[in-house]
Amino acid sequence: MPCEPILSFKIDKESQAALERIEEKTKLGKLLATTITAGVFNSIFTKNKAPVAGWNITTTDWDLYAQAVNAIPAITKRAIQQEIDFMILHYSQRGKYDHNHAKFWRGMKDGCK
Amino acid sequence: MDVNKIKKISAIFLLVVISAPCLSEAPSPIEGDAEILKVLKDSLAGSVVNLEKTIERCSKIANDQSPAIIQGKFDGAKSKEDLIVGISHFYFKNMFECEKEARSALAYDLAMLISFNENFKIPTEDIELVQSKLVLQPFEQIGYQVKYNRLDSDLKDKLSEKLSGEPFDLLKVLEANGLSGK
Repeated sequence: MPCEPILSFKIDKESQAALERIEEKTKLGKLLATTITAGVFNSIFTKNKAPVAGWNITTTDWDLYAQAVNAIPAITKRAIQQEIDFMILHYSQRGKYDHNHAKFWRGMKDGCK
Repeated sequence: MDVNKIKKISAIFLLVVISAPCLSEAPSPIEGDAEILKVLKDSLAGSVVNLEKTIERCSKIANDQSPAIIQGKFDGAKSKEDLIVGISHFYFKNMFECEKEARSALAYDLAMLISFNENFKIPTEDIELVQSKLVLQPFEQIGYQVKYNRLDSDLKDKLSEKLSGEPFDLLKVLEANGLSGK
């Protein structure tokens, strides 16, 4: 099942901070790979700056994301998944629920497979 | 010079700096030290591969989990939040236990490399970051254990009986218990 587009998504501070942590872990994963194997590493996190204002996430964006995630080594992917899990649980708390954020982090979790 | 060339040169430079950490300010390692460094790096590479395989194996277990776990319903929770805390605790704990041995081995190899590098005053911040951010258990997971410890004994017993053990899919279990939405 493809991920639904999210229109005019205004990301909050918690999600922004989580995206920055994910970007950092992606870079560290790249460093680890470079140190040992000089392996290929590709991810949308290194290409895109996290959005501050309204952001339209299209089906194509999700497709690209799913492809990028598949290219990430398992250790880095697990660290990123942990951040995503924390955000899914954050938006499951009473008073924290936001439909777009919940949808966004669920899409990040499994690429809407 | 095009951007790709600059990037390649930068990458090679980074690799050289990491691979041969004995430039102007640091004393030159003797031949034996270079061999020790190679042994440490080989061991590190082996541990990385082992953890990658372990993570894939544990993820497969979570994806192939028995329907009984996915469909588990848990009565007796005072609130939706208590149930989320309990399920989350076992989700993180089971996955961590599945990967713990391989993570410990990699953390040890990274610590050895850091320790060895310190003898030559080589910056080890990046290696330490890899260790703390990618290999060690995040403290947020311990936070879920702390919250779980505060739950009622009855609920903890029910959750433990059903969820303790193998890794499982968090979203599927949350959804099966009506905890995925508002």
